Amino acid sequence: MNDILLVEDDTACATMLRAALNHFGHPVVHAADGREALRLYEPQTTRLVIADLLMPEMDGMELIMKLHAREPSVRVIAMTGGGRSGKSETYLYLRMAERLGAVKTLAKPFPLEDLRQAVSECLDVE
Amino acid sequence: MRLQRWHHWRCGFLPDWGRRLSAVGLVGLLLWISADSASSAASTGKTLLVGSEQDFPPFALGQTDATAGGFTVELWRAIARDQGLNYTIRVRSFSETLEEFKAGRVDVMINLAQSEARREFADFTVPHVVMHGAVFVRRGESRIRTEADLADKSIIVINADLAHDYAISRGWQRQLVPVTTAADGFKLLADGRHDAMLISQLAGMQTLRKLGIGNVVPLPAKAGFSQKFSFAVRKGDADLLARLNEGLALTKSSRVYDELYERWFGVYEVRPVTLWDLGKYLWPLALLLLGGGAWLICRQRLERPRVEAVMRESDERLRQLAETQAILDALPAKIVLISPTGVIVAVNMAWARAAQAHGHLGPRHGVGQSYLEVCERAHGDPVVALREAAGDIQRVLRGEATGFFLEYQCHSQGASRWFQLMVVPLHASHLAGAVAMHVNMTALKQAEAVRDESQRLLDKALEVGHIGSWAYEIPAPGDAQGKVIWSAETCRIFGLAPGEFDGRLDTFFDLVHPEDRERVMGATRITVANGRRFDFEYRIRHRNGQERWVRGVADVERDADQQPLRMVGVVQDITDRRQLEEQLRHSQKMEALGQLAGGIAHDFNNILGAVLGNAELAKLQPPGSPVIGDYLDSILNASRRARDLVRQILAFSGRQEQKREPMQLHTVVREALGLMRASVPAAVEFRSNIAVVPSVLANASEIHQVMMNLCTNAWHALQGRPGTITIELAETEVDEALARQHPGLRPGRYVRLIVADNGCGMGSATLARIFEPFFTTKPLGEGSGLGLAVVHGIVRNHDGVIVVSSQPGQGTSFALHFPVFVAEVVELPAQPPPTPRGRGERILFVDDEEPLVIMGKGALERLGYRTTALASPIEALAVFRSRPMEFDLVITDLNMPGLSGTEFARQLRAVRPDIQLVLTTGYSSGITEEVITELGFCELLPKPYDLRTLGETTHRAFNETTLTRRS
Repeated sequence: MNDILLVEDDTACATMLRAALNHFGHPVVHAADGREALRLYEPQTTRLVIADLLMPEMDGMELIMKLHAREPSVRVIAMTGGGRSGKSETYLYLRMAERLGAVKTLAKPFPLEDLRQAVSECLDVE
Repeated sequence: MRLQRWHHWRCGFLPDWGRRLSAVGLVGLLLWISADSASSAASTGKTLLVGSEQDFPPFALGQTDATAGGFTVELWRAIARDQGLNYTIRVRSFSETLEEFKAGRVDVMINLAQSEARREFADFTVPHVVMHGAVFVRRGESRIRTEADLADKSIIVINADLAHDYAISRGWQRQLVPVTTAADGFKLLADGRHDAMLISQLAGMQTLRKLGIGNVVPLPAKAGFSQKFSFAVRKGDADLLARLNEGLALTKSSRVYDELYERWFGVYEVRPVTLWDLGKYLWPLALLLLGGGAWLICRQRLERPRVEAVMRESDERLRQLAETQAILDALPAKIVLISPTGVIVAVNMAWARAAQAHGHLGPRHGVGQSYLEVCERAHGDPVVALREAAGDIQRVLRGEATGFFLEYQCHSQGASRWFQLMVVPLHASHLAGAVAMHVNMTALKQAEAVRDESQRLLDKALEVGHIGSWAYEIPAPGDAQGKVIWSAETCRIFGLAPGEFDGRLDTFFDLVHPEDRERVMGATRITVANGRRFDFEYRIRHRNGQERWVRGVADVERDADQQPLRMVGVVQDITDRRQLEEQLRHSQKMEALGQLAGGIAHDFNNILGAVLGNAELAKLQPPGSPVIGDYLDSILNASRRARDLVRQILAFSGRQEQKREPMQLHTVVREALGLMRASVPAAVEFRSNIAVVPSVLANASEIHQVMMNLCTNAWHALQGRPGTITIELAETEVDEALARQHPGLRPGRYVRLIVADNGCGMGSATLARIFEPFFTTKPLGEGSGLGLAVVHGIVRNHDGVIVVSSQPGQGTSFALHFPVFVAEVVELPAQPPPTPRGRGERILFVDDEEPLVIMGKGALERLGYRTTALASPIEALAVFRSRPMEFDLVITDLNMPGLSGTEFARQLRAVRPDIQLVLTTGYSSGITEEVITELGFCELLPKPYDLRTLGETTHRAFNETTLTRRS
């Protein structure tokens, strides 16, 4: 019931984030890309989606739009480590994600405390 | 027979051809006559008294017996020598000589003109010279125009001369002024005395010239007498007459007569003689022949066989002549026979036709005219070269030169034509003079001009393109080294003056850059031995000391047995191109690195995220928790990924220059394959066929990376589905057909490494871009787009070629071709030696990054060193100053806040000059060994380093110390 859907294509990051979220007491369901995330998303059980923005198959932005289409109240934390052509991309991606409905954004790499706080704020709203 | 004979031979002598024929006939005839004679003065061997007159040039010269000379005297001497006659010459005035002859005291008069009156007391030989009579008058004399005008004039004659007889016969006896010599007569005439002088033209001209008299000239019209000068013997001395005739015939048939004539009469001209003159000359000869004929008829029964032999010989000569003429007429060259005095004697058909076409040489096509004058007139423009050649032609005619050749240009009717003139002396025994041959060379010249122009354009193009050509004459096995020929442009490319190159192959090799020399020598050997085309770029040392880049292309010519004859090729200076390429490469690199900064940020941030997160997680665990190990493993994995990424970037950017050495690739390929097998899921099957292959020039770690990149690529192409990756390593021979399909690939021996998969494959559009940096079909985050670009860069640096084949859905095959290296193999050591360890030496370790300080201290202590490790160079300097003798070695970072590594090193040395220093840096480009030494460091330790590298470098630094101390 308290599941967090973690959408992350980078295995190392995903492993670490899952460990951290578990450590903070949250059960985690992991999807390697947006398409898998849509499949795994359960409006009844998924309380929060933490999604990377740059992923194969379906990226985070598309995922946010589709999740909102299915469940307008879905809470998404967007995170990214930047794109291919410049350092300002991280900022742009994250602002774009906010416009699409992400409630929190995290720029990689981020301290775990930032993650804990963001997750906590999102869940406390409930 | 269409011999264009000259009927104008001086003073009526037969031209060479005719004289030759008549001489032959005469010889036969006279031999017969003489054989029939019984006894005579000549045959008794008595000494003949020979009378010659005083001062009758050019026939007779000298006033005394001892000084006798002139044409007739010399002719007599030649004949007497030939016939074995003993004689004494007696020089007197003409009349005195004649009197003595008549009286029987003189046996022979050598210069007596024939007349009916004289036949009363003398028998005459065939004439040796015929002279026409002439009327000489003072220049400007208007009253006398022909001989007929002499009727009432005062006429000078030489007493008892033929002219004297003739004048008397004309009824002018009362007007005659007899003189003793021609000179006396002309002196009188020149002084204004009397009206005219009758004398033979030749003798008259000769005398005038000798006396230098200029105001006396002959009338154009001839006088009605001619003098036929003969040797005269006393009436009835048939034997002597026959021998003289025979001797005369022989001198005429040899060149003796001509030479004498030329010497004595050559200075006088050359007056055209008409057919009429010739007829007049011929009739006594004809008479003689008729006389001989009569004799023949009388004696034919006895003499027929001999006569027939003579006739046969004559016929044979005629036939040969006809053949010779036919051959000459058939030739396209214009050929003329020239007399010793330069007069055209005969011409062939080609000349005649050309003369007719020009139309200005008259009906006889120039026969009888001066050859040089004809040549000058023949061409519209003055042919300067031909005119200048006159001297050379005359030298040939005089027998002073063996031949003369000239090429000349002749402009006419707007066309430019070229001729070659050859003048060669005649060496036939009966003929004197020369043959001149004009050959039309226009077609050849035009072809030469086309060829020359083509050559000029080629030379120019080669010069413009900085392309030099060369050839190497390959010596037979065992011979000394062959000769190398360079074009001027090749010399220029190497900075040598044209002709300065000594033609030795070793000299060329010496000019090649030392680092490329072995390669060039090896390629030359291979090209000669195997016929593999020589085509690659190498550096040379220009004479001015500069390093220049050239591209050499060459091939070998072989004989029918496939033995190499010569290597022929070009060398092109491509220094400018290489510099541009270098600039382009650099700018592309900069652009790529710019992209890289953004492109790999994504990957790096993920990695850093993992590192930081796992580290944090580890810290969150209670001490001794077993989970901490897992987090640390994750950190290590992420860090390795970061290290590999950096390596790839550096490999692509070419910042890490890798040394290449000859090695066999199967070792490194097997090693990489083992690694791949371990890291790829079991669903992926590896099939390998790795043969032991010849050496190639390679860098093991680069080949390792190539293998890893290609295998990773192949694995990704399987897209997570089960599949097969095939690795093949084998030697292969690239043939012409394959070489043509793949630019860069040349026929020859290669080691071929194939990495193939049966995965997704790709279309041609993708195929065209796969080696572009950052081009990837993989989703964002899955691939850097650098893997194949790195492979491409490495293979290119190995002089290798990649042949890719792929079809969508059919899999992909990368075939890497590395040229076989011919020299000896350097095997890689199978087992690395153990990391050297310290024996308690004391090290001061300084790095501004705290983690590295901790890591460095731990590692050095594990290696057996006592270590003081500090993050602040200022603090480290203070420690060192306080107890400098307690450290054996200092290892310091280069870039540190507060105090740079180099400054730190300087200060350390100020305290202790013999301290050994090792520099560590994360960015080694631009730092050469010289710089390291200059800064006072003995070793460079590039970051990141592992335990082994740290151990080895430290060990070397101490060894260096030992060595330095020893020395």
